[in-house]
Amino acid sequence: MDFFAHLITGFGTALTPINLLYCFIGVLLGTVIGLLPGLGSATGVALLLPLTLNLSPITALIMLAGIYYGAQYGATITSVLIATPGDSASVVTAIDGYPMARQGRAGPALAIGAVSSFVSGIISLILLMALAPFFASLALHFGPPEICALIVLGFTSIVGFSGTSRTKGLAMASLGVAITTIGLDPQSGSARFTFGFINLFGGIGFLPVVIGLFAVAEVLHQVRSGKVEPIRTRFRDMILKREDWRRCRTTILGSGLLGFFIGVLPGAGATLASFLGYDLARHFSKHKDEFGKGAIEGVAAPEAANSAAVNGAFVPTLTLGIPGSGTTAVLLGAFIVFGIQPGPLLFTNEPDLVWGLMCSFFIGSVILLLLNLPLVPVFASLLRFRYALIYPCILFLSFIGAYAIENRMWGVWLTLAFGIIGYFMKRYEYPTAPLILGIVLGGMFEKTLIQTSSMGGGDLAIFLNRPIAMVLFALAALILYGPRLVRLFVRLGHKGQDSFSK
Amino acid sequence: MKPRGDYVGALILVAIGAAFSTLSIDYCVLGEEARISPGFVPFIAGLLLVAFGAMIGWETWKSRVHVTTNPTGEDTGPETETDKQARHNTTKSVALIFGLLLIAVILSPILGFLLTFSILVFAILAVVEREHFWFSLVISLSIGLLAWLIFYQLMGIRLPLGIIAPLIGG
Repeated sequence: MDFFAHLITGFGTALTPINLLYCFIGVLLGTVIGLLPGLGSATGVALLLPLTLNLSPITALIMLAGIYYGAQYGATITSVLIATPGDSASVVTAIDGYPMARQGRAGPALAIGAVSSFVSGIISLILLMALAPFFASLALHFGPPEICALIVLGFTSIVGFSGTSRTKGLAMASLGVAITTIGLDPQSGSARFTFGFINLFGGIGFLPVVIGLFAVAEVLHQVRSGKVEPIRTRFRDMILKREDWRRCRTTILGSGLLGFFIGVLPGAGATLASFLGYDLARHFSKHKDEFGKGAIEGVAAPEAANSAAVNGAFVPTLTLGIPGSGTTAVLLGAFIVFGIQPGPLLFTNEPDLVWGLMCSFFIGSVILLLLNLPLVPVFASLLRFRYALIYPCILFLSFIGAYAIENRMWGVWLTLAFGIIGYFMKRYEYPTAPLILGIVLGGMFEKTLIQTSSMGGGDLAIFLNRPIAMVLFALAALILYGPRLVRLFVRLGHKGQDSFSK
Repeated sequence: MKPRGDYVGALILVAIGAAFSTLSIDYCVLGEEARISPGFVPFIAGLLLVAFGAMIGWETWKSRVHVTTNPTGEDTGPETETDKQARHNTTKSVALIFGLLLIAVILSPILGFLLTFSILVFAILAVVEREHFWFSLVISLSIGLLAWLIFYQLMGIRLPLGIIAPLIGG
């Protein structure tokens, strides 16, 4: 009964005209921020936080959450249309979203992105509302060894992102991990591979690398491939078909649930969720061959996982006071600015605020869908312009985004360097996604490995005493070697049958 | 399918991997009680890079018999003069854009970010894409103005203004 009473109170708070208005403004501003390369949700929330200081705490937090939601979807739009991920979590969306756009299917790609975000968002919100304390206690069982094992599981998805050559994929992932070791060491703080160059002390920024590898490299690749024709599609081709929806239903559910669980774990984040969600979808898809070439499930899965992880990240934020992601860390700061202390007592001390905020997530999701779905054909129409007019603008926005992330020219240099590297990678068929995955997971992997090593006094056999970690390792081994084992057993079975019949 | 490129790629990966592994020894790979030290992850990543780089080289060498065929296995035939010319032109465009980008990044702190990148857009449109002069100018000025409004005015991102700082009170 308490649950429903809280729900009614929450909706009562969220549905007041002022909160609805600020939720709408937040979603709209968030979408615009997400459209700008490099300016992800964390930057958006941080930049617009001062605008909310004169509002009541609940209205301010509703607006900031709206920005968070809007920025996630805005980043998807640029990922699909111009292969320029607005933030790290939308990198995977570009892998199938962009080929879909080049095939004249930008409309369905954007629509399934919006719908899958909405559906998984709603499911994960229900989980958040009903089971937040349970998931928070579950997250507490995830120490460094378990997170380390989860990251190893994340690495297994390289197979799915490697394209034609698994060796090249593995090499790129190793390069990504090596790149993350440049800069200050997380354990001792000593500088590695910096050669006295001060800009390298902070390491190689993730987003300038992504902008370079995706946006700049793609532009150069398209220019080299010759005259790119504008994409003219009929209006009816921009709408999601029943077949598209049928292919994505289970993907959205599976990736959404996985994304929510990963989002709950502090530090794991929406980026890892989107990679694993994509890999899960590829594993169970009947259209495996289409992945990487424009499979609609390849857009639905990362979007569903990403959206659910965003909601999942609120579990540790609200219940434990531990941020689940970069953006929730900024939001946590906002809570403290407004004199609210997140943690186990928040649900008891501030029920109106917590339930009002969670109900506003529902409303924010609905507003986001209503705002963006009708605009899908408008966004998709961008590709009707000649590419010769679009790409100089993409380069301009990419470099300005790269500057904005780091607030110094170093980000711009990195984008240029990785743009050139990415161009040659494309030319010689080296896959980009494993490199990104290596960069995403490398830092986290090293940190958790060091912590695990310290916990075990240098003995990594500590993993053997951690059942959850062992299950995750077993799952990783199963993903890597399962299909081979199945094929081996089938072959042995056939041989046995043959010799029996002889 | 592009053996020379793959050999070069493999060689670069092996070199990078060897550099990471060798240099990481200075940072200490395993510390007291065999605890993981700052050099451990780069050392392993470097070794893996060397191994995978060598494997790419080996796989390329093994598949050298397929060089004259395309990925579907069909013979693509000799490249025509027109194809060669088109490929030469597009490669020239890419090189030109590389060069323009490099110049833009170098000049940004001096001329100001927005001005330099507006000129870059103009140069790409007018020189690389051979668009009409006035059309290129309008597009480059519009994008520069839009970026100034969004990034500089609305979002408060302090872009380097360079020589135009006194003009707009930066």
